[in-house]
Amino acid sequence: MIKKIIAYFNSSLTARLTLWVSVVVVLLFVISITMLFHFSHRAIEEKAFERANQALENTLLQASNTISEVEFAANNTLWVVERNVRKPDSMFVYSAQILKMNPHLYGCSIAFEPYYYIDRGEYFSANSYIVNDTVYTRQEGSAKYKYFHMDWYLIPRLLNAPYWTDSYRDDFAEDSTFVHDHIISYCMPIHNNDGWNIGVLAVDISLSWFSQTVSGTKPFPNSYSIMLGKNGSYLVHPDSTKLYCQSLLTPFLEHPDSVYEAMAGSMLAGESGYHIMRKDGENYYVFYKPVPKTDWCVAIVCPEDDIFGPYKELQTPLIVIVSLGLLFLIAFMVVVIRYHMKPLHQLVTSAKSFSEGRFDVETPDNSRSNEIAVMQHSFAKMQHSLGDYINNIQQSTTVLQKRNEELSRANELSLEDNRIKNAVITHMTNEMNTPINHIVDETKIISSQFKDLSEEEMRQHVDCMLKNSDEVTKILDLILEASNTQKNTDDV
Amino acid sequence: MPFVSPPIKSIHTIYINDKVLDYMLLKNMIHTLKAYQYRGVFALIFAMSSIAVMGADKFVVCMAWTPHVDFTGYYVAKEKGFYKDAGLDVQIEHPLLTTSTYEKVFDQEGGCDAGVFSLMTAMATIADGRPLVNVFQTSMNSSYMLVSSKGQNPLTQKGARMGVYTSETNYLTYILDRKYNLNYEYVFFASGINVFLSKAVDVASMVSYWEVLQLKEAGFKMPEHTVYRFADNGYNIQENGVYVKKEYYDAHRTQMKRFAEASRRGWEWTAAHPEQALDIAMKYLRMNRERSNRTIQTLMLKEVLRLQTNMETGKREYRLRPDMVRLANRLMRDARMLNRDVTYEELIGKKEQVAIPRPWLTE
Repeated sequence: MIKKIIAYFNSSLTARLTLWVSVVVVLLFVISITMLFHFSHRAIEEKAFERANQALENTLLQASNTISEVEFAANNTLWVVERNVRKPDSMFVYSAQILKMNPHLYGCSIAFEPYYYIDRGEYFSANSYIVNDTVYTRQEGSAKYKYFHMDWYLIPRLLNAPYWTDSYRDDFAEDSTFVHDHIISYCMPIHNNDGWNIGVLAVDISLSWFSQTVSGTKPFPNSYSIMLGKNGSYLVHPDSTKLYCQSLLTPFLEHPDSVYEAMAGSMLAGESGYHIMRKDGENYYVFYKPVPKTDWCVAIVCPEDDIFGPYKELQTPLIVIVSLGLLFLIAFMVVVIRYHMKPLHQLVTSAKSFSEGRFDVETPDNSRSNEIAVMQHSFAKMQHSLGDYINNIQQSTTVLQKRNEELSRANELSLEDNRIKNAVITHMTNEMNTPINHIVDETKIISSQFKDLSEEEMRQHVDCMLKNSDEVTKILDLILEASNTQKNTDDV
Repeated sequence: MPFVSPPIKSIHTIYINDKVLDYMLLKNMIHTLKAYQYRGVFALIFAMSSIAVMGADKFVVCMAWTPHVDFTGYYVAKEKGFYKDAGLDVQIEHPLLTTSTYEKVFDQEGGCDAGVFSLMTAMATIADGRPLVNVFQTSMNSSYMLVSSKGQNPLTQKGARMGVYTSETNYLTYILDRKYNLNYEYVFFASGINVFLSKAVDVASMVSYWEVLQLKEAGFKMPEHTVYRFADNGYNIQENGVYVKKEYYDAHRTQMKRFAEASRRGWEWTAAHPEQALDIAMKYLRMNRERSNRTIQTLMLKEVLRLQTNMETGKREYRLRPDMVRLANRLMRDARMLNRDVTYEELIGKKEQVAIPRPWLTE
């Protein structure tokens, strides 16, 4: 099949011309469209990055503002606490007061080292929390809830520095009277006048409240915000089933993915940037930045379809239009080329017929004035002239052929005559040879022995010589007679 | 009338973490009652079921930790009715984050007949004058590891802050500390890996079936030189098993045997049907508001089942190994954690236990 196609193209100038022009045109189109797509893709990508980064900045700003508010409130309370550590009962007032003055806070604990207040026993933590806009205060800590083993107390205590915890649920104590929300806490070590770390002040905010602040920003219709804790767990995610119990890397625990791990590593290391992630057969752009003063990371996840949706929607109709346009162009080229090549085809046909000896086939007339038409006219003239000339030649050839045949016959006859003549002459010569030899012999004898020969002998010899000469004369007469007969025949 | 099956938990039993559940159960029962107007029949059935529940031997066992899949076999035995088939009304409890199983078994308010302890904890408890008997053993290998948060070999981090959990005494870490004079500064914490990730501690003691998986989930890289596996360094000692007080064991030998058989059934069923067993375990997690994801619990269960296998025979044997008991004795005696050997026979209840006060450090 391919060979047939190749053979067709090799044999048809029209097909080859059409093919080459089509290839060049299609190539030019494809290159142009590709470059158009590439640059517009880049422009859209840059715009989308700008938009997403702007949204990320806004999200970060909101998160930072909230964090700053909490830290500010905690710092103010800490200042008061550290100046009144000798008044343990005051701690209950301070823990309640911070909530009354900052209603968006969830709870506050002012906890001290075991036996710091000896008369208060091993556990002393003034804890206040808000339920239905009412602030409740209690003494936190017991044998069943050793707060000094909990992250919110232990980590700032060990680091001797403020610390934002990841989310947790602080209802492990049996004396909880209600089910707590998941919370995050800002925890600050409490120091006495000597600079010793004697406890921790922790201010809690509800994670659901915080996530509403963070997740409010949507740069694209289907994009969403996430926030990751230090251990990679989701603090904010639109899918609540993932909150608190899954991390970014959970889906890849059983089947690691190096690209995903690289992205997760970068996010958890406190870096900024973006990655393209593939999930459930779709691509997502993940823009991320660290949240200042915490070990958290905030990210905006944008489906690729959101960013390039309109661009992709444009792609298909554009490709269809371009394809149809190219097809139309090719068809148009085929028609035009064929139209202009038609006289040439006619010329070819005529030339073929001419070469096959059919000089009567007329070359169609062409009313155009282009080069092919001129060539066609000239060819037609040439065809006529050649036709006449060839006719003449044919006639002459016929005559010549006849003459040639005659000459040939005559030549054959002549040759035959000559052959006969030669045969006769040869025969005659052979006939004459014997008597002549006799005559010569007799002559030699007479010449050599005339003195010794008798008259009788001499007469015999002469008779022999005369006899043989008569033979020769007869033969010569025959030859002469034959020659005269031939001459008469030739004259006729 | 549809048959109303007896409730698994009687309303006579109050579970602190399941107050809401009990209330819902009662509410549902009353609704059914009104719908079908068979109060008398229902009351009769309920009474019969209560009697049936009360008739079975009640046995309260406290797990080693908050609900996780490392107790799946027990959950399965309960949910699949293996305990019930054995004539036992087994109630499973869990300690709180900052309390221990020890307290649940030995404190007056604890209320548990048995607890899941590690072998070394049980031996120390026995030597401390609180006799215990092993009625069922799951762990056949040590899962403990030391992991450095500073990218170093834990054994080179002398004087480092060592994070250990409050749930149970970490004997192997102390033994290693004494052997190599590591002088760790011990930090006791309740749960999670944040203390480790925040680098508030330099090294932490972890188990291969939980915290190590959490670290992987957090993207924490653990090069080999930063990890010390006790099992690979001559400290392969069995861990969790179910222990009861000696006097309880003596009074309930038959029941303990039945408990062991039913528990074994539960674990063997778990090994044969891991996905379905995981469904049951996840239910317990949800009931106790324990947040986790199925992926990590799947990996955890896989590791737990692996650790239940005797590496030499390749089988799950559900027994204490005398050689490991001897090894534990030697290590703990050398570290002065035991004043005497606690024998294998004592642990399995075949010998009277002698109480001698334990003179080693407390937390």
